[in-house]
Amino acid sequence: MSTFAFLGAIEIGLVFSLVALGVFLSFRILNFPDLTVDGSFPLGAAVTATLIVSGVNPWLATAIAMVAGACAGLVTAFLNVRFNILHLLASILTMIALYSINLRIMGRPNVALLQQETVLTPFYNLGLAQAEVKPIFLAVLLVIVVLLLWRFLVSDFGLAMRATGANPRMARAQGIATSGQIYTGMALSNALVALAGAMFAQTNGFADVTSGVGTIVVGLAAVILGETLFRSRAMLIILTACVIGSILYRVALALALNTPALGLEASDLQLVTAVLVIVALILPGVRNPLKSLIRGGKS
Amino acid sequence: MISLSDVHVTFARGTPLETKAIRGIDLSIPAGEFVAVIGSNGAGKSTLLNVLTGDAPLERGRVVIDETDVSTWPAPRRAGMVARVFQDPMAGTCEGLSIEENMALAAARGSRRGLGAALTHVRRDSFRERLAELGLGLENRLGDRMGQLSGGQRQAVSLLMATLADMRILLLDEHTAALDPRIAAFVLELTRRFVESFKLTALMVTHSMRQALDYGDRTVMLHEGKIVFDVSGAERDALDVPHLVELFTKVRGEQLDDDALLLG
Repeated sequence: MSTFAFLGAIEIGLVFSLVALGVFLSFRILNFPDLTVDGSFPLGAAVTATLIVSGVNPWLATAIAMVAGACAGLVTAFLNVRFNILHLLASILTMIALYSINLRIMGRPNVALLQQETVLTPFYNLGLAQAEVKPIFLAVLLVIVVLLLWRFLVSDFGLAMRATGANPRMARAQGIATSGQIYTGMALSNALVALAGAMFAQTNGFADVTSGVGTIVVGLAAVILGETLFRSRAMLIILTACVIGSILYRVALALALNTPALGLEASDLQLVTAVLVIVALILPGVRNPLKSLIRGGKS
Repeated sequence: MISLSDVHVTFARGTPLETKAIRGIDLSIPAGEFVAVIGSNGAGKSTLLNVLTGDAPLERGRVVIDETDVSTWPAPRRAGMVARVFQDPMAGTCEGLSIEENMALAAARGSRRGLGAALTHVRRDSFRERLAELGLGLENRLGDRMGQLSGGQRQAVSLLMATLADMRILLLDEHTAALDPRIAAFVLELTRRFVESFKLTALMVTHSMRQALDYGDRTVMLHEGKIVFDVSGAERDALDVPHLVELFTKVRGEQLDDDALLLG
């Protein structure tokens, strides 16, 4: 594998580690299987790209994209909490609705960002190649996000969120308003996924309405891989594991795609991801957020 | 002072499954009193607790805690006044979280949960100190997952957790029913100790007539959603299990089913 392909894998792995962190929040912390992410990822990309093209500051555009993602999460949470719609179905409904909304936002299926200023532009003039700047920028961003998320999850408020997912009855008895925690957690989770979409658009130079397909599975694959490699109960390590899981997954994928003997093409990516998650589901002893959902047992 | 007046609770109202769980209960518990509530299955004991916590919506009546009418308050809002220990040791704690994390959750009961660290050195030290009171050696296992403890240990920790924050009343929902007799006795003694040393107002639901007479200051018997018997003081001291059985039989107007209550 060339250095270029390797850096590219790291870069995309870092982008999707934001998805992994979001998926970790919904699936693991809140015990809320949320498929909204397949819609909030392209939502983040669509909002950022459209705003940047119309001349808005890229940082502001990214922030607005995160707010949009948070709103998508709130819609799913609202459907579930207020109307008691099954979490999985509620999230699918939001996801489907977002497909149309994303098309409306962009006005067309994709928006190119090639000559536009992005949050990365100022760093391209520091003497490093673009292919090097992108992963470094993303790595710094991820360090900040992981540290903030860690501080949040070990706070009194974050602990209340963890209790909400782990034992809602006990949480309520301790005075925790569980629905408020679900709203906050889902908003945060989808804001992170939208941030991933915003970064995807700015590092790849485009936003595409179909770019969200399979986001949830990629996020889950990263979470599972991270948890399998790092068995720890320390929150900072668990969060870091999500990031490393995402990067390793992309590097492994790049290796597979660059091995001619396997005969894989880039378009096989979703199939490979699905197979990987299925293997993780079947393997005994692997902690898996989907296991409790699909098999009915406790993960 | 806790007072219930004319409390009615009906589940699934207007459906064929309609159940009148509480049919008019008036009950005043002065501060510092420890009340044992007894009754057979379906007598409304658990519903009575849920009325106090805010988990069971009232059809009629009022719940007043220290002169505040909390009848319409949802459970989380009442949590600062009401502490609860569940029957199922799994229900009252988070098994995936550590002992100290569970304690931090309980210590913040009823107060605003902010973004400050949940586990500080000060808190850890006080948790360690409190755990040592149990005499179970748990003070050295703060970071262990709650799920690694036995049912009895978890129940003892649940009880301890209930006392970490202020309350107006402690509710004990058959909190020793799921434990083996030796551990149950330990948890009951612990309950007595906490109620005495913290001067708590407590309401303990039990299946056991022995416990209903041996623990607390007052015994209340529920039957079909009503209070049928309420005794305290010298009158209560003179009572023994056979008397209670006799009373119960009279109330039910039928022969007592051996399985209905544990006499021991």
